[in-house]
Amino acid sequence: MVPEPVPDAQTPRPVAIDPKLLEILVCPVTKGPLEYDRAANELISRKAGLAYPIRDGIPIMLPEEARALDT
Amino acid sequence: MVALSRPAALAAAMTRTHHEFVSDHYSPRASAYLTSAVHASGADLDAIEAVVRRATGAQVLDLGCGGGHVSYRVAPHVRQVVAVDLSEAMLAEVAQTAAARGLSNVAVQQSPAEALPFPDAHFDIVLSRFSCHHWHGWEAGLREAARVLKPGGKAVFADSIAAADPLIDTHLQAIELLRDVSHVRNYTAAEWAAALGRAGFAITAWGARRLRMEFPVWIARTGTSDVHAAAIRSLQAGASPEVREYLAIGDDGSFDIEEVIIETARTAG
Repeated sequence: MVPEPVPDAQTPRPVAIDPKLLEILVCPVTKGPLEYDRAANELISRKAGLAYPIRDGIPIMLPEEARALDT
Repeated sequence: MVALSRPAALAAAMTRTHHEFVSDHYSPRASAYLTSAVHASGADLDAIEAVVRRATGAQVLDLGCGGGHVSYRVAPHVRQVVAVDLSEAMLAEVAQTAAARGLSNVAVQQSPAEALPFPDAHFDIVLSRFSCHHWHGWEAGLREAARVLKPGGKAVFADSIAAADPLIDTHLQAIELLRDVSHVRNYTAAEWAAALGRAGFAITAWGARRLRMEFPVWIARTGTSDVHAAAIRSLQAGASPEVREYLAIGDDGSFDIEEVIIETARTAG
């Protein structure tokens, strides 16, 4: 059994993302849609191969802040 | 970053688009706009807050968010704020500041105003403050604002404007360009009224105020070069009495700008 993670400064606490918001945010590179990866707390642009972070509930749709997907 | 020789830097600048130019220009200045007193407070922000105060379920677009002051003021009142800007550095600051203030209903999305990535009639409210004079395609941006706004939805545009008198207009545009080479244009009140009508906005309230630009702070915010700052002072020194009086140009180069705060509603259809 995996112990419940204890939230602290290092552990980002997942904040529920407004579904209305997820409908409209796009990848700033491709202008294409995003998938919400709840576990990783990221918004994925498959076409660009980038994962955009959600920090403190704030989706950050900036290429410089995105993580390259390992493919 | 590689230091370019002057002709190479010029050539590089000429091949970049205006959007890239504006984005690059503002990136190193992001924190100056976050802390700027002119930007962080004001009657225009109060007017904007009054518009959103009872809009608890609203989806709001902050178009050309800059340092994010509209987003911070509005977010506590509404369901969601999407802060859009060209500058990645500005948006990174906005995301960080919103997080630090516990405003988890803010999202930042990089986009030019002239080609918004959002569907038609999505937002309940569109807000834009001190941004329009940077837009390459001002009217295209206004049309985009109208497109993404629901019919009947509210939009507030606040920006520094040009004087109706061409003499004063030309002086202001000249010093604005010297101060900030990414400056596009300040529009007159008449141009604002006409363009908003063309874009599909009906004006519901019109406010105006004068704002003192303190010269050293004003040029420091955009990182104006010494040669450009000297040219501004030279233009001011040579300005006609009408210009000096209208803009209330002081001995240290400080002067007044005029700002309009225009409340509108999206016309149906």
